[in-house]
Amino acid sequence: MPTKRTDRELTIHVGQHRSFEWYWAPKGTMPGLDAYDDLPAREQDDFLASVIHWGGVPPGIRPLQTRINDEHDDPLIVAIKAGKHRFTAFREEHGSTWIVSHHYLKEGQRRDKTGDRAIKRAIAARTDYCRKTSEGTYYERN
Amino acid sequence: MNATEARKKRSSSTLVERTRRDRNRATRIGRLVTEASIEHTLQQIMEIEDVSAAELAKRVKSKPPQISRDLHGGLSKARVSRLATLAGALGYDFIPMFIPRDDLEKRRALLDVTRDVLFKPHTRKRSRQEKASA
Repeated sequence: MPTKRTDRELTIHVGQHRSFEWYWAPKGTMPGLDAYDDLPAREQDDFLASVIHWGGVPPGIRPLQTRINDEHDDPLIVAIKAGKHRFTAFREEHGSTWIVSHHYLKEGQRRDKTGDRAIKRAIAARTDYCRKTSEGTYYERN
Repeated sequence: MNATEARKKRSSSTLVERTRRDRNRATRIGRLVTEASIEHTLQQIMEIEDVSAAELAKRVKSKPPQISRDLHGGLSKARVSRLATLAGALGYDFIPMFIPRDDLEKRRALLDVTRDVLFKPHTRKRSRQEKASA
């Protein structure tokens, strides 16, 4: 059962070059945070390490592919890695904040249907995010 | 309101800050970030020097899969001598440093200088141009 969240839970990390926050779905849930909460502490730490690493990489420099991977070109969707776990993320339109939306497990060498579905959900989340931030209804819901 | 403005307005702690309050988890996260940083630095140097994994393997008399392992998590278990060998093969010195944890200003300044020297785009460009003119 998805948990209803508040804006106090949004921010994951504020790095030197990039910041990260969870995607806040229309019903007030944060699917990425729900999945993160279900992970064991070691895997949570692995995810946070990926986020901290990328937050400190200057713009124009590729982050480690063992930590961050491009999953979709247009719009750009990346996967933040934690072992077999992947968290999809997209960038806000004007700024350096990345919104972490959904989770999937990568079992094999190639991305499977579960991964493909997670990417589609991330693209839909991005559309929702961009529309609501331009309308002024995304962060202003409390 | 964009993400930065909204963040400033709510001014709550971050997930990373809350997690780091647990000492064991802070140590583990720190170790993982350091490992990623070493791997990333080596990859950046290889890019600056235009050295492929195959070429690096040849220079250190290793097999290419070993270098591939090194660059995909293997360096986390590498000895200091291995890091020194890889750095040497790329024309660099590996200098381990002990930095006081509490002096955040000095720490950040040192890391910034290191990043600027190695990763600023103009440095990379110059390095390639120098190579081409040599």
